[in-house]
Order: sequence, then structure tokens, then C-alpha cells
Amino acid sequence: MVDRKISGSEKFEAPLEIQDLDEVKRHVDLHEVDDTDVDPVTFEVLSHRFSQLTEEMGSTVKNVSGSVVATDANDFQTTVGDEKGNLVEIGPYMLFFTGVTDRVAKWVLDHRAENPGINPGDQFLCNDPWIATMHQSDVSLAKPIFWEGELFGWATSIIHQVDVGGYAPGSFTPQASDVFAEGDPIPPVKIVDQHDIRSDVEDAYLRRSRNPPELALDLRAKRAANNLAEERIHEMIEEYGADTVKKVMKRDLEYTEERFRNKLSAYPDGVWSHEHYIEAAKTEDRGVYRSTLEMEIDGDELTFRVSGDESVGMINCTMSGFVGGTTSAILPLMAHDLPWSLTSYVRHINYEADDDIIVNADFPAGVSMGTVSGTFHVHNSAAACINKMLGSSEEYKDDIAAGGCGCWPTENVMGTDRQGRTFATMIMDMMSGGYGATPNNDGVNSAGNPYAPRGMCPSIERNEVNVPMLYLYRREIQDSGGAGEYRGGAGVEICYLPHDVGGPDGDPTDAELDSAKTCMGTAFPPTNGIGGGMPPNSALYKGVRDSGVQEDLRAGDIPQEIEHIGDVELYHPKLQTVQGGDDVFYISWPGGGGYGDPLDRDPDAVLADVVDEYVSKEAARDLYGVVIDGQGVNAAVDEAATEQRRDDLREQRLANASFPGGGDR
Amino acid sequence: MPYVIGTDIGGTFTDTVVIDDAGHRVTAKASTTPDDPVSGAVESVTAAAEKLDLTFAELLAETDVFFHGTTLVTNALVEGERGDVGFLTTKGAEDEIHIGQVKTRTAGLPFREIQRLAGMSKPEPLVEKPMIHGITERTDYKGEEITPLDEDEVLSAIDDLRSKDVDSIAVSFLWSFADDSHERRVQELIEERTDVDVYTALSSEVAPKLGEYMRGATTLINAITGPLMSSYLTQLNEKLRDNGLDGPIYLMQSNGGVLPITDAAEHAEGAVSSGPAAGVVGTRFVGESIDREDIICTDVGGTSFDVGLITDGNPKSVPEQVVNRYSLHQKAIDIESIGSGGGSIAWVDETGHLHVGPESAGADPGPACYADGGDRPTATDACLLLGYLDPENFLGGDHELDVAQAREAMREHVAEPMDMSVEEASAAVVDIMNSHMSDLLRKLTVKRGYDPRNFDMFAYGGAGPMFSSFYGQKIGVDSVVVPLSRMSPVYSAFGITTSDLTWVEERTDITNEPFDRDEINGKFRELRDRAEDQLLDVVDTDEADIEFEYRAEMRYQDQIKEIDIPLPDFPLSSAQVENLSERYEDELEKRFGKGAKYASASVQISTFHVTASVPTLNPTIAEAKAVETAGEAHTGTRDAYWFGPEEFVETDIYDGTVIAQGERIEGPAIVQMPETTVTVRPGQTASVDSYRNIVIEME
Amino acid sequence: MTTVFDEHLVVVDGSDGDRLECRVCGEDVCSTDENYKHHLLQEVTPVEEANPNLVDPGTYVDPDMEFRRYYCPGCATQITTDIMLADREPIADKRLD
Repeated sequence: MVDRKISGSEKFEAPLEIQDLDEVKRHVDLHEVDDTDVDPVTFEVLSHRFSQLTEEMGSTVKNVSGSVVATDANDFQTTVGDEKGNLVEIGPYMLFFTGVTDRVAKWVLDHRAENPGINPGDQFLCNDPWIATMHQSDVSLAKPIFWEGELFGWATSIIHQVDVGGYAPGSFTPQASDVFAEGDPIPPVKIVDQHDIRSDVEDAYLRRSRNPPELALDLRAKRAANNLAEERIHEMIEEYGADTVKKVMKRDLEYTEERFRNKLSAYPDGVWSHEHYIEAAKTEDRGVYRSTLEMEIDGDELTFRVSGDESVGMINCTMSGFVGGTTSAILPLMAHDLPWSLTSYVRHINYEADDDIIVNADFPAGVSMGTVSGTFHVHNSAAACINKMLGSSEEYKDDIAAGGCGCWPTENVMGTDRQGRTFATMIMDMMSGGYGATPNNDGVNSAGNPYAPRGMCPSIERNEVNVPMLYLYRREIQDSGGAGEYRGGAGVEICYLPHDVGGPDGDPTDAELDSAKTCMGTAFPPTNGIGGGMPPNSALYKGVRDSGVQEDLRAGDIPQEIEHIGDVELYHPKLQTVQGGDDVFYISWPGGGGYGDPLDRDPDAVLADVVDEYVSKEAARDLYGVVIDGQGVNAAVDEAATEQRRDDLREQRLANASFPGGGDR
Repeated sequence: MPYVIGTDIGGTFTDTVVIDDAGHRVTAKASTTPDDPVSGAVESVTAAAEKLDLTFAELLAETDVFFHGTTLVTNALVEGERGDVGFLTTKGAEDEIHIGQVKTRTAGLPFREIQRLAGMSKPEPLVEKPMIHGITERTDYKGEEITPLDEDEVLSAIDDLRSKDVDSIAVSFLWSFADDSHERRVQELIEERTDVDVYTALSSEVAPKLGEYMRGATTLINAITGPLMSSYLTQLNEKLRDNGLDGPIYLMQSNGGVLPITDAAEHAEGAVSSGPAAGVVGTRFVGESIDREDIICTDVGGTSFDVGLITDGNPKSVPEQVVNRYSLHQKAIDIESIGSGGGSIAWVDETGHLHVGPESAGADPGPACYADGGDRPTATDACLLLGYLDPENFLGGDHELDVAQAREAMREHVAEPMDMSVEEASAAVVDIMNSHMSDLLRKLTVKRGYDPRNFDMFAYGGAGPMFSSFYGQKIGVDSVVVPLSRMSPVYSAFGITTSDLTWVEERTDITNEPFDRDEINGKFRELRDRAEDQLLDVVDTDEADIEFEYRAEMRYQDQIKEIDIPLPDFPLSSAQVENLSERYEDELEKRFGKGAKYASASVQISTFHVTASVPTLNPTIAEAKAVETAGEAHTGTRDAYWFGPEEFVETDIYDGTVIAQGERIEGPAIVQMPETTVTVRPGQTASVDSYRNIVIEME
Repeated sequence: MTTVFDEHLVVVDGSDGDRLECRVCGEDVCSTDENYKHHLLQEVTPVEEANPNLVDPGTYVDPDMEFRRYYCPGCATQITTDIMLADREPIADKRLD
């Protein structure tokens, strides 16, 4: 709960629709059409071009951007919208951004049309979470596209920037009690003025950051991507005429909404819910905070309702996060065979959220963790609700995928690089969590994150050249995948220390790195299994100070367990600290949840898991009830013992359990 | 009349092209025999020999050079049939090949195939975990030894792998390209410890580039397919030599070059996906003979549309090749594909919107008109219904097309739901197909900063010549060339014969601005010398005959993505070295627009790259004399639908095998040959040149 | 007539309205008007027993947490699991309309 609402901040609460269209039109001519009649060939041809366009924009972003955030983790998004900002197409990138970029356009139309005005060649920058993003790190750039004096459409590019200020390096601010300790939100500001970057505005933007060159290069990446969109749209207009192109855009939205309605009608009617938690609202806090999400399907109507604890600390997100958390779960589970024309979904779904709760926080709540707490928190619950619903759909149950890697332990690093310059970056290895199991297959091991379809993980060598670090190990974690008839995919862990900070001849007394850590999902797993499946592991931050590992390495020993190095500290999930030159750090992140009862898993599959070290022999026996003898190529299932073991476990279940309400068997 | 032979083993067919020194060409097809590929190749060559009234041996005796391409390696990887490999890597990095940088989940897949979460997967691992040994050893980013090599562990690993009967061992240590001494020592130990030859592949030799997963994958593929390839090529070599072939035998590589087959087995990964590269290389050759240097290469088959690009006579390549979702550190001719081909299925969704593809009827059951069990309308069916195909003359009359089946499929699945006539539906389908294809073409040329209007287009593959007059028109090229006309369906086999002996040396060696002239030249020189040595080792040639191409992969520091920048010269002058960053930034702006460059960002070269090539004997493609027309080339008319007038028009039909050189054909027209059909639209003009290329000038 | 409720439970017609039944062994669980978790056998264990890599949540947080597993009273099939704050009631998280 915010201590005191800030009067004068009401303007920055962005609603989902344009507030005063007549006023907008007094200052900007909008290109509109009256109907969406277009011949089927033209519709198919131009729709296809729009679907190609956001990936072309995405290529530009990746190629021009300086950061591994965009190129590997795909923590960015590109969108194209109509004259009112309605999103016709989004790219296969970070799906959390789905509740976002149309609202930049709409707010700009409502509030900037008169002053300073909206003109051809302008581009507006915004990272204000109450207007249109999940946290301040996600900086969007929106370009109004004009044709013959009329505002025809919008292109938006958004990238997660490594540092936009605030108390902690990397801008995930573990100490924050409210937004004033975090990076400052910037409501939409005209940073490109009729084709040129305004250097005064750019300076104000860069000034807040510990890594100004990264912001500047990414600004150019976004500008280039938006300019590309304008070029392509102009080409389409030149070939087909403005009205036809616009009709296709509007028809795309109608078409997608119609198909989505049909899908919803085919799903069972009912209400499915999920309760989810976030631990620790800020540094040193030991609380557990709850949100309960309900998903209702009634014919072709879909409603998401959320209630829960009041906003607190820095784990919150705004309405953008609530919307983005739900749509990012809908797209790959329900809408995987439909176009991803975002506005079609968002405007069709009913959203109900209590005021000033964690996932709909009022200004000035702390939101710097917005994506990896509030939004991810909603996403995990929404995915769970959808999976529960699919479990009662004969036709669509094969679309179930148990909760995949349900959190991202952030690790922001700052220090002196090997050329002696200050750098600030994020470790992006977390883009390798396990995917959840499905009714027909195990979850994919080290698969990525479900909200980033094309996400990738950097190589060890790339990290060792960009960051002054040395890895002891990086591997898939045994027993991390949730147990089930089908096993969840394995998560991954890394263990590393600083190396050549400041260069090979760097000052050994200045060999440390600053570290900021924020995570949801350390105290308990952030996702669970489905249909009787078990949860995966949680994320963990560990460390050993003054390890002496550099000597071990020179002497011919590469430790493969942090526990073998020295006294292991378990770090609080909201922490700012320093990694000394001889300190070893460890980070792990989750696998996916299991599907179905582990006692139903095919023993031969468990054997294969044990041989490949995805499952330990102990877990095989304890969780799956499979007894395995021998090692390596000689390992084999003891069938009789397994049958016995499984019978015993079932008996134990009955013996240890009771009815929650009391009551007799 | 000495012959040049090109034989390409594809998935279904083994194609052979035989060309004599007067330019006379025969072609033949045989079924591929996957269990014994050599016999399929022999059959195919024999069939070609028969057309010349020669036996297999008689043909070989008169043959100067034998060029060969195969999908053996690609198939082995995709189907997982391969020998057992062991893998040694740095302790702590054993799982890198399984994590695959997560790229293994999506590389090469179109967006629609990654939308469904429940459908996600990774390919079969290249090596199972029990076969991976992590060895205590460590080198850092600057090539300095952090942890010495534990030789006892190495020996123990070798013993374990021997006990598991491995056919080959791959070794990939972290930072091996910065210092290879640990890997070399492992090779020595393997040789000492094993009395039988275990094929060994070292990552520092196979792919000395940054990125342990890709380097490891490339090395593993080398190790996995090496023995397989070796055995196959040895068999082939014996068969050909025993039957009288004296001249060199070459194998096609995905980088567009060839290697002698006696050496190709050590670089088996180079032959992965070499087929499409052959089409581009063949196009460069034909293009050169008719003075065309900027060409968009298009290959339309039954299931896919493959596109490559040639600029200034050079095929565009990429530094990273994807095969079966594995990413390899290997230069390959850049081919992009979409799932759009003759077999693409037209369908209407539940809201009444028309789509074409991505699903394909493939070859089985095939289009409805094949009457082979397919009952859904495809692009081929549409073409038949629009009058472009002659049902009785398809494939030289071998396979009669069933018009009634095509009509019924189109009516039921498209025309009726869309409330259109069958003809309107067919026209819509073809229109959509061509738009998708021209969208891909535009995307590929423009993303590299080129304007398609400055290009010519070549069209080959089974269905290329049928669609190219449409998508060529749409994209704005000046002309479309159907190269060597009747060669169209066996174009890859031809393309291989035009390829040169090629060797690539590259190494990641991160070098920051400001660039030192001597240092830069020195790094290139080292690679150049090594490439030269390799070529001289395998072919008897003069140093003077070797051509070198130098490229630097450059990027902004801390940036991930690199751009390939060709050097203007070698060695570079001081001015040229200073100018390198500017060349990089110019290319960046060319591709990504004004404002893509950032003045304060500093530039680096990450990988140095030298390609050395020696010309092989190339085929003659000119016709010795003009074709004597056996009769009129014009054989009649039929009604066909054209988009200009948007109606059926009586259209001239020509026999493409007898059109006289220089004869001009005004569109609308259809040129038919047993191998392929060429459409010429209203406003376009087609002619046949001395090479029997069909050149269609756009409106 | 049966309707699928989830992976292990179906809705069947009962003499007194719809009832939930186990798909594996046919055990009658409860009326669809009730919270089905109240009629499954619930085993409560520490959260860290749910996965071998977990640590005791008490290391990080003060409120007590539980891992709850729900079994069919007939065949002991594990029907669903929940990670919950100890003082939170079991949620009827599935309702067909």
C-alpha cells in the first residue's frame, strides 16, 4: 500500500482506450476507414506482409542494438498498430510486452497532440510503468506513421535497458520502498523531432544511466526499426492505397478476435483459479505476499479477476503487468494457431483487478522488478488457470504445458572491464530454464523461458569476453525437473568468479564487481506441476567468500560443486552486494513442472533419466518409486522391487493423508 | 570429346548431367538407393551413358572430371543413423552441447512452428551424456593456461570410450581457438593409447571460432559423419577408378566449393546441405556467360521455395549454418526458404478466410491432379486449372494429370466456401502464392540493403519456371532467366560441375580499434598461408592459380551481431586499415538505415576469414550450333488465365526443345518441355539464347 | 453421461445431482457443489520435500508454508498438488459451469 497518493500524478494513469478522440482530432488528422471490406486475396497478401514486418523490425533491433539483452534474451518487442494505436501485429519476442505498447500511442494522442504536437518524423520515448510498461527498464519508442498529412498508424519498439538509474546498478532496486528510489519514470517525450534526435532530450535520458552508450545505441536500434516499419507501410500504401491497407489492418483485428471467440466457445465453460506468492518485498524482508487469480470462460467471454495483498516494497507491477502476464500465457497455450494481433485479445478480455494490489499497484509503488515479479507472478497463475481449464477439454488437452521456468533471478553486474572502462550488464544465462511437461512428452530441458519463444542463452565464451568473469561450471541440474508421469524439463545452474577485472594488469585491489540481485521464487518453486505433477526446483543465489579458487585452478582442480569450495552463504533474494576478486558466486533457476502422477511414469523412462543424470537414483526411488540397480551402461530397473516400491508408496500415501475438512474415510 | 559429369544424390532422386566439350548435354535420373548410395549413383550415370550410346565404363574412360554431391551427411544427422562418438570437453562445460545455447529449440524454424508451447522440442542430441567426458584443463579468454591438462583423466576417458567401441572422438575445450596445445596433446594421447585408428576431430582445427556450443557441434558432426563419409567415398572412388575414370573426383561443399573426395571425408561437415548451394553456384556460372552479375536465385520445388543472392558475381554466404536445428560454425552459401511450393495446399479457415500453405501435399500424396490419393487442392492444381500445365504432356507425357480431380478438390475446399468459381479460386491461389514468394524475395534483398529492381532473376527447380514470370514481375526485376532450360529439374547436378576447389581458413581473434596495419595483415597472412598449403596439398597446381578472398567479421565492441566485411585489398595499406571501421559503419547504415551507427561506439574485428580457391575444369555450355527446328516450335493454343486481363485468353503453346535461337515469343505464351513448363505473361517477351537459356523480359 | 473435470476426475450423473468420480478406479469423491479438495486425501509435508533441490522456506521467510498433495481415497493416485501458506484454506480451483 502506498503511504500517500501523489496528487498531480493522475494524468499518468493510462486507461486502456483513448479518452477524448474529438479533442485529438482537433490537433491531428487521423486516417480512418468506415468498413473493413477487402477482397480475400488482398487480405491474405497484406496480412502476410504485416506478419513478416515485425520480424524484420526485430532483425533490425537485434542487429543494431549493443546488448545481449536484445540479441539473446530477446527482451524486446516490435509492434505495428493502426491510427489509434491498436496493435495489429507483435513480434515473437518478449511476450510480457503484450499489454503495453498500444497504450503509449493512445496516451500520446490524448496528451501530446496539442502540445508539443505530433508530426511526421517524430518519435516518442516512454518508460513510465503507469502509462505503458512493466518497469522503468523497458524503454519504448513509438513512431506515428503519416501518409499525406494524416496519421495512418504507429510503430513501436521497446527494449529492456540494462541501467536506467535508481539506487542499485541495473535498476532492479532491492532496497526500494517506492518508485522514488528507483529509476525515474519518463512519460512520453518527443526525443526524435521530425527525423532528428533532439540532443537535449537525449542528454536528459542518458544522464540517469550508469551505461549511457548502451542507451544511445539501443535508441538508434529502436529508431531504425520504427523507420523500417514506416518504409514498409508506405510501400504497401503505394501499391494498394491507404484505405485498402488500413482495412486489412482493421480486418486483421476483427478476424483474430473472431477466431479467438470461436476458440473460447470451444473451450469448456467454468472458473479456474490459482494462488501464487512472492517472497520478500525488499531487502531483509521476510514476508510472503499473495495474489489469487481467477479465470472465467462463459461462452466466448473471457474474464480475469485478481485480488490479493496490497502493493508493497518493490515487487509490484502496474495494470500493464497484469495484462501482459495474462496475454503472455494465452498466446502460446490458447492462441498458438492464431495470428498474434494483440489488441484483438486485450480488448476482448474482461480485466477486473482490485485497486492498489501487487499486480495493479498505484503510483508511487516500487515497480523496478515489475517484469520478474508482478508480471511473472500473474503469468504463472494465468498459465496454471489455463492448464487447469485445458485439463477438462477433450479437444484441446494436448495443448497443456505445465508451468515452465517460472522466474528469472536477476544478476546485474557492474565494474571495470578489461579495457579499464566502467561497464554495467546483466547475466542472461537465465534464458535456459526448463519447460513444463505435457500430456505426451517430458518438458524440454534447458529450453528458455515460455514468454520468449525465440530466446537464446549466450555462450560461456561470449560471457567471458564481455564480462571479466571465469566459469567453474554451467550445467543442467539433476532432479530439477518436476516429477510426474512426464517429467518437467531441467533448469540450469552456473558458478563463476571475477577474472581479470580491469584487464590482465588490472589493480588487484580493485578486482571486485558490484552485484545487485532480485528474484521471485527462491523460498519456494515459482511454478507447480499439473494433473498430479510435482513442482520443479526454485532459483537460488549462493556464494563463497575468499574462496582460494584461483589457486585451486592453477593447481589442477576445477571444483564442480560450490559446497566443495568452502562455507556456502545463501543470499537473500533482494540484495545489493559486492563480489570480491576471490568470491565465487552461484545462481540456479528452475526447471518445468511435471505432468501427472510420478508413480505412473514408465520405469524405462526413469532409467533413461538416471543414466543421463536428469534424475538421481534416490529421487527415482523416492518420487517415482522406481528401483534401479547398477551404474552407467549396466544400470537396470529392478522390476519386482519397483512394483513393490510403488505399492508401498501408495499405501503410505493413504496412511499419511487425511481429509482436510476432517471427516472419515 | 571429353566429358564432364555431375551427379547429385538427393533425397528421392540421383540426378546426372553429362556435358561434352562442345556443350552437348544429356541428363538422367535414377532413384536414390539410401542403403547403398553408390549403386544409385552408378545407375544414374549409366542411364546418362545410354543416352550417348555408351556403357558406364566407356563414358568414364572419356571423362575428364567427375563432380559429385550428396545428402548423405545431412540425412545421417536428420535421421540419426550414425556411428558412436565420444566427446572430450572442459570439466564443467559438459552440458553445453545439450543446452545448445537454447538455440537448438528454434534455429531455422519459422515463427508458426514455435508458437505452440506444448509442441516445443530439441533435436536428438549429437552425443549422449554417458559418452561425454569433462577433463580437468582450462584456458582463458586471452589464451593463457589457467589449469594444466590432466593427462590421467584423458587416458581414463580414452579407455572408457574404447570400451564403448566408439568410431570417433571429438575434442572441444573452452578457448581452444586461442590456444590449441591442450587439444593437440589429447590427440597425441589418443594416438598413443589406441592401436586401431580412432577418427579424432579437434575443435581448434575444425572450427576455431568463439562459441563453445557451436564449435563443439561442428566438431562432433565432423567426427560423427567422418567415418561414414570416408567409407562411402572410398567405395565410390574404387568403383569409378575400377571402371576407367582417371580424372579428379570432387565433392560439393556447402560453402559453394568442392574438395577432392580423398580429402573430403576429413571435413565431412562441409558437405552438409550442399545441394541448394549448387544451384546458386551454377547460376553464377551461367550468369557470367551472359554478363549478369547481380542475380536473385530462385528454386521452386514441391515443398519449398529456396532463394539465394549473387552480387558482383559473388554468391552471398553466411558464417553460420543451421542443419536440423544445430548451428554450425561453418560458412555456407546463404539460402533462405519458405514452405511454399507446387504442393502447397489452399484452404479456407472457419471464419471464411483463404490461405495457401504452409502445409504441403509434398510428393505423397501429392497434388489432387496426380490422382495418387491427394484430395486437397494445391498450387499445382491451380496452375493446371488455369491452363498453364498440359495434362497430357506433364513430365514428357509420363504422368497424365487428372483435371477432374483437381477441379473437384478446388471446388470443394476453396471455391464453394469462398463463393467463387473454380477458376476464380485457382487464380486467387496462384496470386497468393506468388505474393508470398515475392515477399520473401523482397525481404531477402532489401534486408541486405539491395534494391531488387537492380537485379536479374534466375528460376529453376521443378516449378520455378512456371511461377517465375509472376513473382519476377511483382518484385520488379528486369528479366527472368530459366537457365539452360531443360536442365531445370537437375540443376543442382549441373551446378556442382561449375564449382571450384575451395578451402576456408578462419579464426576468432578479437582485435580492437585502433587497428595496427601490421598486426591485421599478419593475422590474415597466417590464414592465407595455411589455406594455400592446404590447397597445394590436395591439388597439383601453381601458387599463381590460387585466388584469395579476405573478409573480416566486424562489430561494435560488446555487440553480439557481426557483419562480414570484404577487404578491399590484401595486404591492406595504412589508409585502408584506418578505413575499415568506416566500411563497417557504411554497411551497417546500408542495411539498417541512417542512424544505425553510433559514433562513440568502438569497433572490433572478431573473426578473420580467408577463402582460397583454384578453378577446376568447367563445363562448356554453349551450343555448338543452332538447333535445327524439326518443325514449327509453335504447337498450338489453349485457353489460359492471365492476371493482366483477369480472364482466360487463347494462348500460344511452344515446344521449348526446338525454339530457334533468337526467336522472340510474345506473351501470353507457354513454353513446354518434358522437364518443365515456362509461362510468359502478357506484355513479357521470351527468347532463347545460344546457351539455350530462356530469357523472359518483364513488362 | 460423463464430462471430464480434469486428468483424473470426471463428472457423472448422480441420483442427487452431478458428482465427481475418479477416472482411474471409479471412486465416488463428492458432489460438484463441494470443494473437491475437501474430499480427497490430503498429505501435508514441508515444501522442501517437493523437489530435492529446494531449501526450507523458513530460511527466507517467516510465515509457515506447506506442500499439499491430494490423493484419490480409492486408489491413492496423486490428483493434484499445491504450494500454500499454511494458514490458507484449500482452494476449489476448478469449477465447470
